[in-house]
Amino acid sequence: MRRDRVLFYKNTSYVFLALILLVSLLFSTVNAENQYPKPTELKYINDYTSTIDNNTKQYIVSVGKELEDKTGAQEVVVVIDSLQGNDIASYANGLFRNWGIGQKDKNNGLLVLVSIKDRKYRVEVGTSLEGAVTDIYSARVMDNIAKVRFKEGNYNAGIKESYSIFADSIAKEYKVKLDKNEKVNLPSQDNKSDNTVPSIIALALLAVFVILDFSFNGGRITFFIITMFFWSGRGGRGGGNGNNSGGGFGGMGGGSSSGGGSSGSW
Amino acid sequence: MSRGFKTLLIVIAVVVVLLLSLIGNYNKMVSLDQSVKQSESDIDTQLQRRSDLIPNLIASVKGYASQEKDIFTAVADARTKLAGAQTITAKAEADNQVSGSLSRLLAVVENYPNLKSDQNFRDLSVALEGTENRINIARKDYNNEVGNYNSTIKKFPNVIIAGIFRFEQKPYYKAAEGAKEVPKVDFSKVK
Repeated sequence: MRRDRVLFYKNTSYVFLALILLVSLLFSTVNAENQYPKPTELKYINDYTSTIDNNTKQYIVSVGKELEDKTGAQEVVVVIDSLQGNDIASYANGLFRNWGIGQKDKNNGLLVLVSIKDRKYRVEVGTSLEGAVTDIYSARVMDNIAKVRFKEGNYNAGIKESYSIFADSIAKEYKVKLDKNEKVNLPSQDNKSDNTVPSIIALALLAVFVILDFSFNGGRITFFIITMFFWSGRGGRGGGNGNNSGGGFGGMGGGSSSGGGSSGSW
Repeated sequence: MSRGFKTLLIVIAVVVVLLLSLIGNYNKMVSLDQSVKQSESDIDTQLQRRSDLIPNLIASVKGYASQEKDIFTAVADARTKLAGAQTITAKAEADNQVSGSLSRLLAVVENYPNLKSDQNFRDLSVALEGTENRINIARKDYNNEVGNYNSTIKKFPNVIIAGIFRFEQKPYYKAAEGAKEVPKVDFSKVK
């Protein structure tokens, strides 16, 4: 009789353990994604502020796609509301690596990051494009073209024009010419909120398991998992991950940057 | 098959499994050690890049502000010290000194509006800023690799292998407080 009880406890604790591990796994990935936004379906233009109009998006997506089809290089624009106190240079580098802009071993990505409320921008250049777009060149383009437009509040023109110039510089490096008249249809964007649902479910499940664990099992599994997390430490950075979904245009390539580019404010 | 032979087989199997895992761990430590060295040389590359910029920068500042001799000397001294630094700790210290003196140099520039509107100087300060940023990133990467390596060689059973093959803890690349700010000239008021 006692043996049965012990066995019963043992079995249930295994089930608990497996479930909690599963949930916490789900949970940890949700957490990791929170630091940087996920790439949108438009891949080349990621506007999280609804600043950019559809014409500009259409233009950037078609130029970006043509550039990638012809050279493999990825030129990506990200417009965010605020850096939330982060330094723009480290944020841009973190985002660049988190998304993996550019091809994995070529590191031929370019990121134009604009933070509206901070009135700051940064061009982050992948290692192998540092020759095509030098720090000084990127500073000049942004200074003379984008900054002027940003000051007028015309973000669309500023981003569109500087995007086009950088695309030409990259194309020149690869000795190709861009036609820039490719017609690309924008996929509709209406699945913005599906990300929050699993995290709420995960949270609820986790709470239920913790309560059950504490009431039937003295909280042993919870403590075990907490210690496990301590043991495993924080884990390394993910590196470029190549399978980020970028909507209908294929994912990012897993490229990296070593901090090339320039920043400025308006 | 005799009983003794069976036991022997089991013992051999256990030893082989243990050895294989030890070899695996040893190899992992070797490759982590290599990554640390690689990222250390990345820092060196960026430090060198900045050192190469400094003479040009000083020359362009001198054209407008030749009387600021103290600061030119401070930058030059720090640069020489950095060139002579061998260990990572000495490099970090000298690097902080260079960054500090460059920040002072750029602060002085604020008093010379003509210098600030000089295109050559503007380009040089963009290049300097870019290099400082690369140093920051390289330092972060190096510290990540070191953290990875240090925690791996401390874990059991790696700590035994580390003892035998003399894998030692590696120092972090410490930035001075305030040196994390990239020296930057404010051009926003210059037309």
